[in-house]
Amino acid sequence: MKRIYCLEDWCVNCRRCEVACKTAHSVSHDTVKAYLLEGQTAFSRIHVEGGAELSISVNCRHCDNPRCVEGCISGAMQKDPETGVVFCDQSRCVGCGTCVAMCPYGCVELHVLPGAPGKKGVAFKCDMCGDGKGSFGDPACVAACPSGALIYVDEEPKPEPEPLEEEATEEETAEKEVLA
Amino acid sequence: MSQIQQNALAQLLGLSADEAGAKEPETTLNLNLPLAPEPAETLPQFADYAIVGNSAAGIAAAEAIRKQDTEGTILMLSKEPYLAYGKPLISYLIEGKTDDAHLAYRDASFYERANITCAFGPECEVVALDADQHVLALANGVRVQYGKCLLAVGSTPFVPRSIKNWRNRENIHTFECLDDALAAWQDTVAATERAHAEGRKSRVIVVGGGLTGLKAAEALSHIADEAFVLTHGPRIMSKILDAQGSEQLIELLAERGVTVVTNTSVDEFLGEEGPCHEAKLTEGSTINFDVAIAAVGVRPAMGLAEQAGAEIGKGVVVDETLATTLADVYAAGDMTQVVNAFDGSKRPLALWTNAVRQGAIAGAQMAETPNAPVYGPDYAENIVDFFDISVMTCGVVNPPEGEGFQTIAYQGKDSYAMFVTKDDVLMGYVLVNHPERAGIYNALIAHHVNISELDPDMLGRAPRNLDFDAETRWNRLHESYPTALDRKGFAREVAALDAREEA
Repeated sequence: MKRIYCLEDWCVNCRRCEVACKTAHSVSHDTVKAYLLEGQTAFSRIHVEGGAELSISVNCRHCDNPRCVEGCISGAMQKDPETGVVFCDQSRCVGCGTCVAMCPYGCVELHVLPGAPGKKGVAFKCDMCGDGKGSFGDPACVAACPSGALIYVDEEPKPEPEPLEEEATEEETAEKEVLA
Repeated sequence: MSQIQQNALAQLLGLSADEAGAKEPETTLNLNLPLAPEPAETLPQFADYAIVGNSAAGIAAAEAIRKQDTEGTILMLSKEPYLAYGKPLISYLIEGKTDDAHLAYRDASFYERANITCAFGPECEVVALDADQHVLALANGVRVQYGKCLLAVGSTPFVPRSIKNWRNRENIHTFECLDDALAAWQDTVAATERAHAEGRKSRVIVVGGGLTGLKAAEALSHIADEAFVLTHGPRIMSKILDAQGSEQLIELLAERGVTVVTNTSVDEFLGEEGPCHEAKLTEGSTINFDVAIAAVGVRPAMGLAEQAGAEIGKGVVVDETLATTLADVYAAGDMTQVVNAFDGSKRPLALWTNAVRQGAIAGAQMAETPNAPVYGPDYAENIVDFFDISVMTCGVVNPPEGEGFQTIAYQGKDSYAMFVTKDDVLMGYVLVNHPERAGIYNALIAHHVNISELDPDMLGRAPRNLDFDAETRWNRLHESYPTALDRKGFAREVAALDAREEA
């Protein structure tokens, strides 16, 4: 799968990734409206840590073995078996917060949407700017990064698991011995 | 006894009565439950994989098996007639934080897509296991032979004998599964209507101050006018909260309508059978109530494994592949005995996350997946919310004295954070309303990070990825980073060429 990585040598703490993310996840797709009018519903899913000297932009790693998915009690948090994108079906999220405490990178947040029953929060996380249901899109954070700190590249291909060794026949074993 | 405790008890004993309740519960529960299709008339006589239990561990195991083995036949058996649903969702359903349409843990076509034969319903309860013959006997008399079998039947509520006359009382419920929750819900709605018709408040009492009891109280407090939790000890969730965390949570719950009465439990439910509306407390007084929930504890459901001759400890004994001592019989989830990673003690770890993890490992092992993961010593990570309160606890929270543990606590107005360290390594924490990036603490615990080398203030604020040293940080955040690129993002080949030219 393609993944987003942050190269901290290039990160200049400009936080344009946060702005782009919030804008991309707003209804208006307009930065000013996203901040001024949609503050209760549009959230950035990427966060820059640090300051002028050292900063790093962190978003969901879409882990191979996502602990947020493992811990999800409602089945809302899922990893698409085809694309590998980890996403949250917010209609099923009950706001228990397990994913927040399970994510080793702090990349899942709960936000209470206006009118939520019992002030229930729901989980927000990076959805790769796809349809939010496991597809890839064009990550807005990467597009907005002016310094090349955020890159969107193919991951290192995983080694094919070795096929189960069939039990060697006596002849084969003898052959191997001869070769040795 | 503290002031809060005295007030709670006084409230329960009716010494601080106020006017009748105003809550107007909805009268009928009109639910569309995720019922499984009726099991086929004739179940297969043989399955390569038989999975007993259709919840967290069973589903995770089935998914792991299918990743490796797309051909083998899978039969899932459960005494509950529902499609897999999130067991912990029962309280959220009552509260309205989820609804019947969103209870199912997997989408409706899951079993079909994974080619799983389902046998769900009371008649499909597995009543006996013959490990020698590889045969399961069902309640309806059907016998199924299996290649490999996974026991994932969870735990069952347990009420100590010291609480008398709780069995077979119409208005005393347990709170473990969907049917339990529906019965308690329906009963509380009806009782509240009756109480209001009589011009009084309705009252639910929950016996047991653990996670289940508190979730039940939270849920039913939305219907009943009064919700009390009685717990015999001085603390709630005593295994996973420290004293101060418990007090903080009791206060926050009280502000939201759930009153916890500590050091008090029910000695006896009065009367012999039928509905019960009076209970005698351990401290001697008698109280009235409309509905009671018995949530004192759970025990691993080991009956099947025990009867089949598997080794039993505090749970079913399993090895690192989650195999029991019976040939081709595995176990996963609440029913297994887990070795504690901190003190080596052995007990079940009845947590959803743990059940999913164990199920996935058991499934991979059963399907003989190459390089299948194994299960080692583990520890509890408890995450729970009550109303809008977040509670997270992990690892060692009540360290024994004199073994070199240190604690550091941060008390906020409505929040509390406490960390346990030993030799500068984080061993556990309690976080009340302090959820921000909490998973990073878990990473510190899991990787035995020496926190004396990190920012000294880091425990006093939300943790950051930048708190790790540069090398660890890179390794953590760059899973599957392409080897063709260097850490500045340049192609290594080009960089090497440049270097050669310069030379």
